[in-house]
Amino acid sequence: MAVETYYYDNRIVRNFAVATIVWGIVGMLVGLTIAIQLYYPALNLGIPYMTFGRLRPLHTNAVIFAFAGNAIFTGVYYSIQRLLKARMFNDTLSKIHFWGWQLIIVLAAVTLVLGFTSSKEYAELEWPIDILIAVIWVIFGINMFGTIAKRRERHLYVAIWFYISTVVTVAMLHIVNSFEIPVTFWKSYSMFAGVQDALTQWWYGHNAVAFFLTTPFLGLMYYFLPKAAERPVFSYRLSIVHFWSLIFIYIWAGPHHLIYTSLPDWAQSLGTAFSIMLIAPSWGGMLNGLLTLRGAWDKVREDPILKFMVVGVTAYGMSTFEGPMLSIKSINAISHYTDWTIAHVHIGALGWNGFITFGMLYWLVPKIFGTKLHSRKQANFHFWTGTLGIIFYVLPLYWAAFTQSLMWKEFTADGFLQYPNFLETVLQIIPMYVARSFGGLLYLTGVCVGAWNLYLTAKSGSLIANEKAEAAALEGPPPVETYWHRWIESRAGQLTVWATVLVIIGGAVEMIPMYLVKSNIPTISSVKPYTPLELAGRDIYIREGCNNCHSQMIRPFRSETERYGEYSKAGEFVYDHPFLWGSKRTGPDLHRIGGKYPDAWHYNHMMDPGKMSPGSIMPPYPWLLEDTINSVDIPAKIRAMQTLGVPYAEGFDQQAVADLQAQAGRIAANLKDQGVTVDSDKEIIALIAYLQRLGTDIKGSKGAQ
Amino acid sequence: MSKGDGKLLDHNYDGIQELDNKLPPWWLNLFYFTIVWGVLYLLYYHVLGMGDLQVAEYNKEMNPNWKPTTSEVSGIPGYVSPLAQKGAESPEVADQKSPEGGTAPVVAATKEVKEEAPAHYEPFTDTAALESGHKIYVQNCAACHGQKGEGIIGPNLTDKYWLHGDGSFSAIVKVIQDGVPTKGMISWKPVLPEESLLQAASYVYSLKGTNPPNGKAPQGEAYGD
Repeated sequence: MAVETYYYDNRIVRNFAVATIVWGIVGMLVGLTIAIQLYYPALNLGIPYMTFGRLRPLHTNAVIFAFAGNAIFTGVYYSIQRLLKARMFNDTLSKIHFWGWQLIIVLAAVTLVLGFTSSKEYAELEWPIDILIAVIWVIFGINMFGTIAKRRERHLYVAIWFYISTVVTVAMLHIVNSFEIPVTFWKSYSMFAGVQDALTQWWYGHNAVAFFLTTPFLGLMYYFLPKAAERPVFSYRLSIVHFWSLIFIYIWAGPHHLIYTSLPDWAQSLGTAFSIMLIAPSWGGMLNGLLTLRGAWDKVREDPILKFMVVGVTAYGMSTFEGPMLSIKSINAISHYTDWTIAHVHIGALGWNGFITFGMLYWLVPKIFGTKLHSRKQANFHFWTGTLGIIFYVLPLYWAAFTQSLMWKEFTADGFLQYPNFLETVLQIIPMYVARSFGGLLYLTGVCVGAWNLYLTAKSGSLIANEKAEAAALEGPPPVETYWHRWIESRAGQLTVWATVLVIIGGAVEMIPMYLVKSNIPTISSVKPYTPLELAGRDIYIREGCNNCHSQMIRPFRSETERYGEYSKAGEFVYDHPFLWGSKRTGPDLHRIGGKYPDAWHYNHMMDPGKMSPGSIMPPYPWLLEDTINSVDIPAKIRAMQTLGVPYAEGFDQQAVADLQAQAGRIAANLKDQGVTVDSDKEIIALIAYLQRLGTDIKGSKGAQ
Repeated sequence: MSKGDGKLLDHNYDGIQELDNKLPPWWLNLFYFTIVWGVLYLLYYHVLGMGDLQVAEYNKEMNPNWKPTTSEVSGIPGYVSPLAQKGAESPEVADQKSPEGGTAPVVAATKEVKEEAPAHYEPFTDTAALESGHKIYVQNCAACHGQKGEGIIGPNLTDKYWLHGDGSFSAIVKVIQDGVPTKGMISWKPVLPEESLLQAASYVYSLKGTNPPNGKAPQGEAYGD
């Protein structure tokens, strides 16, 4: 066998590494900004683009897809070439992947602040960007599978199994959850409605955590941790068992984001059962990481890289235990809609994703620049500020969550809510929000020091753009194997097919009956489609990101029905493209806000929430009082809804604008009676129409009976 | 490598080797246990029907004597309105949509029909009760009536003009209890315990003639001097 000489592409690794650091700082800075806005709303400077509702999706998208995404690509492009003994399949594809991904991030940053959003969490980007993401992701896939095809290593290492499952599953999740009908270039409606949309979204959202923030990072861990520790991986068999069980079980657990909602019980229970079953497969990854360090603990004490990795893997173990616990009904009843969720995800994001990323960068940057880390002391400083940052971030939020949840549920001896005013429960936890932002600041400080350290490291060396390596080419067919897994891991096609089959099953079993079996969503005859004005208002609600702070899902608890009104029914959401149930209550639930306050109250409240609710942390929305309703797109919106099966009468699209103006006129007149003079074509009118409509359909049905 | 490790496999990926260690037994047992737990969980709720699903759980929370057979009261499967149950009145007394689909409020018939003589109440005058009433007022009423009762959306509560009733203490209590749904004031009877409601009403009653700054112009009829 002839030994071949080839070169690893380090330039692409360098590019992704730079992008990781830059976007990481940007994303975390946005996070810090909105954390401060929670107790100092004026930090939005009164600019629509800076409001919490628009910046929160920007923060989540930036840290997930820009920071963690670029980190994944950095590690994958570095490790896969070496694990396969081959240069990347095609340098042009690598470049398109890199620049395409950065373009997506820039487009995301611009469109999200402009209010172009689908409202679906971590999938907020509008349809043109969705298509671009799909294209770039497929290019990444082709580049990866192309490299696998021309490999000089017979067997695929466990890291690559995880990369393959990532590429396949993320494509599937992204495409299905982005099924939407375009109305204009920057506006679309989800093809799914209400309960179905919620299930699809959380199948996506949960598995974005699984296949964007877990499997690729496990792959990175399997490469960079044994490399940094210079120890063999603890158990090959554990790798096999936890890989296959993890990817199969994870997919089923999505409905645990919808416990005690209008989602049918059977789907909720599947979510709970599979979440519990997920503990061991997740811990398999943690164990294989930590036990690889057996006998290397003296090194861990010295080496900041291993410190980052140990804390990262431990954070992974903590959050993958906490996640299943949060799926248990009685715990979810307390945790859901509170800051507990936020604390939980930040253990994962700051601890697991962040620390694995920094551990990897400290190891890899000196390598590709042919030098040594500039300062071990600074890396240690980064490690400690990061670790303290995580603690200062999560502990106050846990405290806040328990406090607020207990306050929501507290009844007096006479059977009344102890804290009927939602705002009181918010004001109670403001000090915790201050402490949390301090934790975030600490973490970000560490990252900035790390960036500086890595910059000086790179400067002290020079990029080895093409790193020479030698290996023999593979010849002949794959060998006969005695062990089944040795067989499948030397056949990339088989491995990919079986991984794909396993990740399809869970989603299919849960989602297909939800789409097709009518009894899952009992219809309520009094539920009618939104009027054109209400629809316009709903789009404003989506644009401003109201769903980031307000849920529209009253859970079947006495404490909720006493506070908000009758609990939400699946049949009430059949025309909700997209659903707007929300995942966090920074403000109260709005599902039955309709009719609760006079129109003038809403007018004054949007102009200055503090005036109506002293101490409110909701920012003012004065531009809604100035800006004109976009009625040009109304006919197209009605037609899109008709395509999706919303029963507007035929030809209604042509009457829709007149209908909108008539209803707007009535509201303006009503406001005038209440002492507010405003033109009927202002956005506030549409928003009031929508808010006053919310949850009222079912009241009508009660009256009718 | 530690003592008791399995053999080193002949795998070598860019220098990374793998040990042939067995799965940790406690880990494997944990995995088996969670699988059994998951199966039992599904059986308990969905096959054997032993556990209450969420609506049954809710109905029992609202009414300890609730039995599954009563669940078909309303037309919506699996949904029983708390209004249909004794002792569990929903706090919602709000506008309905007009048939045209606009938001013009329609009078909630049940509330307005019974124009009985209002029950007679006497205001609290002790400082503690007024203090408590003030607190309740700031939390619940000030949003519409102003911090000092000067009126914002809701009318001025400090002058002698009244839109509903004659400004007597009993009339104020009645307005708070029943609300004025057509104008957006909700019924506070299901929200506030009677004691608190009377304290808040006493505080409002005590505001008469305080003449705070930025008072809203008079609305309604003048009563008294």
